[in-house]
Amino acid sequence: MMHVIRHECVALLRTRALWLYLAVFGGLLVVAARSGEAWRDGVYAGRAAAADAQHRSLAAAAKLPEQPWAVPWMTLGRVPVTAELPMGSLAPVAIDRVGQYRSSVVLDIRPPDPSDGEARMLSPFLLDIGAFDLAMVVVVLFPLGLVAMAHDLWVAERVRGTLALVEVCAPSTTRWILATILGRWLALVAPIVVVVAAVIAWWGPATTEAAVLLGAVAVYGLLWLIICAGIGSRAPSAAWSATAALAVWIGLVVLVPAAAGVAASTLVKVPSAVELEVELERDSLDAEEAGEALMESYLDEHPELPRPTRDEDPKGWAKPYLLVLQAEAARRGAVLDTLERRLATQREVAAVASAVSPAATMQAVVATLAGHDEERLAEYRGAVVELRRRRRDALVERVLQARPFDANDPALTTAAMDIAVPRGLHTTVPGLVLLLGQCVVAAAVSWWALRAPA
Amino acid sequence: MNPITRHEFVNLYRSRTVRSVASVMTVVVMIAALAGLVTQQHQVQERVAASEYARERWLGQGAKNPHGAAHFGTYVFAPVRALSGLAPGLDEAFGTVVRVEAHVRTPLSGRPMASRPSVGPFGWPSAVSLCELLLPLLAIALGHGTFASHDGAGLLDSVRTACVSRVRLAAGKLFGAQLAMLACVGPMLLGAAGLAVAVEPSTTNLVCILGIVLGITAYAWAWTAVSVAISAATERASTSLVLASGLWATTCLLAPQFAAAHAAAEHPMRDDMSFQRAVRDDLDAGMDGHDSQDARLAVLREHVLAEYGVARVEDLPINFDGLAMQAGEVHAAEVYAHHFDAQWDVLAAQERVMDRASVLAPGLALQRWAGALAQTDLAHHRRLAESVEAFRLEWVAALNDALVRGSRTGDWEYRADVELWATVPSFVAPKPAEIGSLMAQAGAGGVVLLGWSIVAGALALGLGVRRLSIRGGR
Repeated sequence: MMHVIRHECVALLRTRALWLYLAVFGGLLVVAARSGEAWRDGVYAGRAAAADAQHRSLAAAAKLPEQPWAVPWMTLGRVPVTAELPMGSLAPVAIDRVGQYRSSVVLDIRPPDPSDGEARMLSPFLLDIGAFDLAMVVVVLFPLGLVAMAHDLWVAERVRGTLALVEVCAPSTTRWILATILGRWLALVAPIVVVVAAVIAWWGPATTEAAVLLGAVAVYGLLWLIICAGIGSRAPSAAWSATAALAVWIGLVVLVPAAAGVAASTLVKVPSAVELEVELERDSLDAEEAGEALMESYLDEHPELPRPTRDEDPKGWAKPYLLVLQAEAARRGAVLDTLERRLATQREVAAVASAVSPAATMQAVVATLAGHDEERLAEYRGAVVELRRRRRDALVERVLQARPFDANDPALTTAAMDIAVPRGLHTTVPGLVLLLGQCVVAAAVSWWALRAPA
Repeated sequence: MNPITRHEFVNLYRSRTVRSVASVMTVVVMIAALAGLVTQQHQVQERVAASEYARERWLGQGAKNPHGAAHFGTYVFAPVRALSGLAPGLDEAFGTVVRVEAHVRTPLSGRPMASRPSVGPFGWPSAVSLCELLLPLLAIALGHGTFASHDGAGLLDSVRTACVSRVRLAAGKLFGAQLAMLACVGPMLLGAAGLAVAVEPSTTNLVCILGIVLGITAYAWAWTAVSVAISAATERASTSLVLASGLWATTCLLAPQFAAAHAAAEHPMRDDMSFQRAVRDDLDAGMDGHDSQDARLAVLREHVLAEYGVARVEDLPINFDGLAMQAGEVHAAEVYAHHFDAQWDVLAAQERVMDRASVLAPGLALQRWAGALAQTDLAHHRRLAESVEAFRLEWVAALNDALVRGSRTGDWEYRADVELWATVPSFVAPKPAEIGSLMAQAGAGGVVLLGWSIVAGALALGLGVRRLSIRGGR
């Protein structure tokens, strides 16, 4: 077995194509590493600026405003304290379209809004085309490189008629096949895994997530080698094999994920931004009446409180205003919860529909390891909504109870940095299992293709 | 027809591989075109319904102070262009709805992509984006063996010995491949164009969709010629295929991403927080840092008191608060315009970088060409955003004017009703641009596509003739 592996490796190492392949992918990974680093530095710089602005705003809010209608508590409650999405060590791996979401959201007392998490000042070109990242290299280009380098696996033997000879003469055909694939894997996949490891080490200290990512890259590469082997074993010529392998790449990397997305959005309808805005606005108008009812019931429960009227208490408007805000937030929150559930169902349908695509699976694994998967972003949005609700509750309680103003009240001044959105390594397990399953299926099909009579 | 061209065309068109690739592509692009047009029609209906709701809400707000109504606000929904279903351009990256109210200018929010699942690395599929991605592959399937496979089989020498000139042979092969490409994509393109025109028939749409079809044809021509040129430059068909695929990956997958990243790095936009902070600072202190709100208000008060010849604002026959708010609105509009224009200028600079990059990536040129003709490009979105702001200013001015003329200073109990609400202006979407100006906007993309077609055609001919010369000399 060892001599077959050595033969495969040495034969490949003698070709200029392999060195070109390694140079191209080495270069691409270096560019992706720098791109990820630049993105991370930009996010940190933005967060530092936001923190600075927040400190200034808190300092300004501590000075009582002079306007006659101002309520100090509300001024404090409106200070833009930010909640930040914690960035993991592998965050720069998948930055493709993550820029469209804010990873730092202002936690003032406004009711939840669908545009809260949406970054507005963003290059539409970058958003439309997507940022170049390590995931692009690993998920999309790496298999294309493997198709270019391994489409001729066994084709030459078949064309020359020596494949049958090897099958007859080799002590064990199974071991020969495995050794051939392993040889290619060592020459084509292992160097890429090593460079990815170097990139991750350059970004920061090694973690378990990094080890899982490297393992996934190794399996993904093996999977594509097996696909190429299966095609090559039945191909009448190298050109035919290359065309078929390219067609499979297009199907699995481009068409299946796109078709799965279209199918999911057709099967599970999610209101568009326009429909959502109309629905939320209708609810906000209804909330005004609900807020007044809330005020009445609150005053009934607390007879010790004076009934706020505009004539007796110039600041009295703040109380009904806040209760309207509470009612509005509750209604809008319910609508947005429904939206999040629909989006989650849509994602699940898309994931099931694209289960046949190793590229979609690998993309999901990489995004999850980077902490930029849709589920985590949805949890982050949920955590932001919950923190806002708590701040609003605290503010309502202080205003309604007419508590003395405290510019350092921790309920309103503590910066809720780094919301701990719990996502463990276990979230990548389904993706990894699916990837292994796809690998096994591809191996079974290739085995059948190789052994079946031509 | 040149017999070599006919032979090449028939051979390619009969090829099972080519027919399979062309059939799959036709099905995929037609599905994308149909889905795009259905979505576009749905968007039109949803936005008409939303606009009607916004109008109804505005008229039914009840009696209130005009300034309260200005805070109650209204909504503007981005109009949907007729060809956006086929060529959505930058529509996915820009918002669709904006709340219009006093004091604040906000960009449109609610990107369509936010309510859609992730669909792999190439974004939401549209007819044009799929053509951009898949047409080169069809061209490669057609052209990679034009010279290489025949040469391997020794056929080129046989044809050459039949006294066929090298130029005629090379041109025949090139045009045969081009004809086969046209035969593969023609029905698909005409079908998609017919659907688009049938949905919203108009001369402008017809001209624009024909322009888009022409652009896609030029793109297909260029890629077929490139594929033939690579075939002429390589010994084996498989090498030709791998090289052409590598070029495709570089120009269609990598170059656009590098270009977008380079554009964003070379001309960075301000992020949301720093943008808002800069606007707030200028609103508070004036753009020069000295002209604070209080100072501006004092000057206005003196001016108005002098004009009416009274000593106190309470003695004015009009509401000074309304005047002050309108003055504040004008100042805020200047500040906002200053900052938003700067952001739009940055985006224009990024677009110029993308235009330059399209020389290396013709897919970007096709996007530019189709986006401009479908009115889904940057210029269109800027025009829309500016028309929304112009409407906001007119709308707020009408409400402030009603406050100034209908009440006296300090009279916050003044109430206007539906009579006023019905007279303030409504948003009217900017009219579709004239064909001439659309062509001018699309020009950058068109020139690159034309350039690629000419250069690639010449290259294919040149390399083909050279290849035949080398064979003939042996």
